Amino acid sequence: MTMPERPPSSEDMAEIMPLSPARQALLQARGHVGLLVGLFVLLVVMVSAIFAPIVAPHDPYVQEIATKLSPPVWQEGGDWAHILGTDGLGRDILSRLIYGARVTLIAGVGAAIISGIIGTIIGMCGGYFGGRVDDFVVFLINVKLAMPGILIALSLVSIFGGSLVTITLILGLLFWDRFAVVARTTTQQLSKRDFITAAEVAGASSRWILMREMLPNLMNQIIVVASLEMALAILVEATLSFLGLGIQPPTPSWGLMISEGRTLMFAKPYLIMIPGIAIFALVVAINLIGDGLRDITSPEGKG
Amino acid sequence: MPTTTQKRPLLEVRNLSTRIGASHGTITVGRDISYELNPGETLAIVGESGSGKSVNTMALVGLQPKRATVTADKLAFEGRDLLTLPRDQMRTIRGNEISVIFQDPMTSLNPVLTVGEQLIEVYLAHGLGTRAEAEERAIYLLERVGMRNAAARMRQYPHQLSGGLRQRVVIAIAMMCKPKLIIADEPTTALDVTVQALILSLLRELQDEFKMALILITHDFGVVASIADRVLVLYAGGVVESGPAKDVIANPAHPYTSGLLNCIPRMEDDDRGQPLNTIPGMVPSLAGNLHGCLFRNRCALAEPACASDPIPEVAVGAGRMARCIHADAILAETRAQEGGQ
Amino acid sequence: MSGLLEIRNLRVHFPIGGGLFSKPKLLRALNGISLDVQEGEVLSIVGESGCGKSTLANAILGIQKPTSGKVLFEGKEIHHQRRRDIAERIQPIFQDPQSALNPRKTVKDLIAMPLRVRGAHSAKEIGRTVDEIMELVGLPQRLGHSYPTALSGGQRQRIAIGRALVTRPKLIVCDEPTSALDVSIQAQILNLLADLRAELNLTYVFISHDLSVVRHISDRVAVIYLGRIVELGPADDLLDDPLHPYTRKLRSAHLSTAPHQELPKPVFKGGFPDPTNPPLGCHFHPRCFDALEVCETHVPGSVRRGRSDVACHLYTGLGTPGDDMTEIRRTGSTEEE
Repeated sequence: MTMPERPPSSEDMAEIMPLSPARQALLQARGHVGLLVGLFVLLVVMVSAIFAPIVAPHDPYVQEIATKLSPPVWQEGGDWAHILGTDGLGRDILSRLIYGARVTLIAGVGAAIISGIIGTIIGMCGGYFGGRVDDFVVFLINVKLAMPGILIALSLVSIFGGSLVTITLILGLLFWDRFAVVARTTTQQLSKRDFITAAEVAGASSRWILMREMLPNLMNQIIVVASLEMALAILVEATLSFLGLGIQPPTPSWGLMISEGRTLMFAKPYLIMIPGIAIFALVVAINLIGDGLRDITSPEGKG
Repeated sequence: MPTTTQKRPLLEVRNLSTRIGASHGTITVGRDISYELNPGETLAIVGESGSGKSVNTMALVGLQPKRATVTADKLAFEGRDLLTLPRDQMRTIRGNEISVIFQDPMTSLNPVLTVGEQLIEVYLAHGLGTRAEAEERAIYLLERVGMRNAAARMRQYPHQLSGGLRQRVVIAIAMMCKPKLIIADEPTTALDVTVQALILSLLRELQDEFKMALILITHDFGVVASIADRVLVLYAGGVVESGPAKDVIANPAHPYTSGLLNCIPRMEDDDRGQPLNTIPGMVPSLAGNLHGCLFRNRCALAEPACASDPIPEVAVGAGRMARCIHADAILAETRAQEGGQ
Repeated sequence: MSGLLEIRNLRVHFPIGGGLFSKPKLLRALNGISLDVQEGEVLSIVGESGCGKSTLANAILGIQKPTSGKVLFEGKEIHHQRRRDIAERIQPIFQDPQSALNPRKTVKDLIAMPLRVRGAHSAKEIGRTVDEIMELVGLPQRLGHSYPTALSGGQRQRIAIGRALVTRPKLIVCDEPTSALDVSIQAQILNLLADLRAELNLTYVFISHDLSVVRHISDRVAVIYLGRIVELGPADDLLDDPLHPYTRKLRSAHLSTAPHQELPKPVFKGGFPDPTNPPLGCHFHPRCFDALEVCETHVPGSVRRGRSDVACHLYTGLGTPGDDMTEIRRTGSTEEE
């Protein structure tokens, strides 16, 4: 056989595109209906929250007693001036919903970021260092899992008061366990891979290895967990506000709106239906995003 | 006992093709694969990664990936058509008459069940007899695959066994239902060379004793040379060469087979300091419409005719075939090389 | 004669298992290894899984602390130096390029990693060095910003080799660098390693289980069984004419592609022993067909036969009755002189 000597780079790469993992995920995202629906809903809520002063038809704090308890347009006696109607004090529900989205999103996103940072660091340390460090991390996680989260949030809020900042902080400090569990297991698996050994051989510090070698590989899972934690934080914020321990009136918050509508629940069901549907839709949307992200980033994802 | 006519092969595969649907079109991972397997025979299906050696063989027992479509002009096991068989009947054949052994004994054993339970389970699941009979056969087989203290081994869990012992258990499980055919997918790749030799000779012995046929999927020509009766060389999803293993390895008739064999450093040759032969280029994409010889972009002998369809099967000697228009010339060359050594 | 790398009576013991209620067992992964590697040579280390090959590799790389004994590189103890300094001179290549490359980094970032860790180079310098290395290992420039998942096994192993070369080391520890690759790719990588060795005057410690690859690439071979070297000698002598019964068995278990190959006869008595409770005397004696009485009680010292050193009582001359057996207690290792 006549074989060429030794081709310096014999592998013809013409047909392989240099696609980054992120770009590949993006391509797959385009075909994922649940993810797209979730993203759309979240985007609508976010845009209206950010541009609330422009989007909202009325001032959410202005009380017009003359038009109080006016029903939404699709009900009898509805008025286009107040598309979703007004509450017992004559405030425009749509406007309160839009401003309330700010509270909801800040609490959700803020809590997810805080708990994400705490949980990821704790989990990565446990997973990478192992031994005593890991024992301590597992202990922390177990303690956290044994604590009734919502009850503790309740008592902390009643001690520190219910401003948006304290609620976000408390939720952030309480819900890091899922991040820690996920970060710990993934880090454990990655620690066995040779690219970590290669970095250790090169003399990289633990911080370098965790931040530059591990973290990029954890991002997928962390984002998925973050979306679920965000949904949870939104629900807990609404619960606290509903119980009167969260955001204080007259600041608009979805939970508070349900609470305020409670007394007229049977006569004017739309007072609690509308904020209720808003919370439901947002939480479902965020969960859809989380599931979608998991689908497109996992190796078993659809090709 | 079915009275088989003596000429009928155990397994007949004619023009087996496997396609996998992907978002950007169809990928043809198997292209017109044909072969026959006689009772008691050992066939090695050899190829590199991406040759489709596993996918197309596992497709015989319905273990292809979910998105794959398998077609064949004929796919008959003892005259029964495997393609049109309903699922439950396929399940009966799989494990009962055709057993499968996978590469990694750790993942193919259930870590929370004892060795004994896993052996017995197979027997009972196929309704072959009572628990006592199953136990008896399990102990007999564990002894037969070379495990001392079989009764004690029955109570052990897979993690308590070494890799070689685990693979023996896997083989014993495969034997529980007296299969007529065992499909072994790289059964020794995860094992040490010393254990590899033991497992291969065990398979060989069992095969002789129980008159089983064996399909051995492998990438290792050393394994082919030492155990196979016949060999099927796959490249990019198609058969490039087939025939008696020793003949094919001694005098390959396809440029791919010959190139591949030349890449392997040989214990016998003193070639230190000499560069090894390589095959330039890489396996072509299997997406879209494929035509002609898929090795032509890496082949030193390629000419325009290699791009036309179909490439004829050239008979080169008794029971041998090579799908190459230059087969005779290459055979002559490799014979000359051998003579010169 | 002192070499580039000297290993003196190296022992690495791990406590394994053991919990609240049980004492941990001691795994003697390396049990008195002594070895010299000369500059420019290829020394292969062969043995079954669990024999201590990988622990030895880690000890040479400086990421496994020895329990006792020394690893000297250019005369200086490795484990007393900063890891970054060792990394400049000793680098690893791993078995599975898929596992060895961070999937979230581009080819150029992967190769540049050891330089970035060292932190003593400008971005421009690093860029230039990486380009040179890519050229050297046969990676086209246009792949520089690709991710390893998009590349073939052979290209991935080229990246791993490039990363190992970027600090211009003298010694490369190759841990089964081709066993995860197809044979046609294996040939390319072996050729590349041979070329690089000639071009850069590299020294390889080459761990492999494939004797035909070992034969092709190595000058000398060390055979390890349960943490001890049982035979060490020039590749030709050791593989053509193995002395130790264990080497002979390994040699006969090798399946060559010669058409007249037959399956080897059952090669061992018994199975691989429990490494936490190795047999007394010569660790290999329960599986050895030639075992003598002395093998059950006394660890064989190493003796020179031809150009090889072998640790076996068939050659120590202690197997015959009436010999004074007391003196061999002192030679627990394979150390020469």
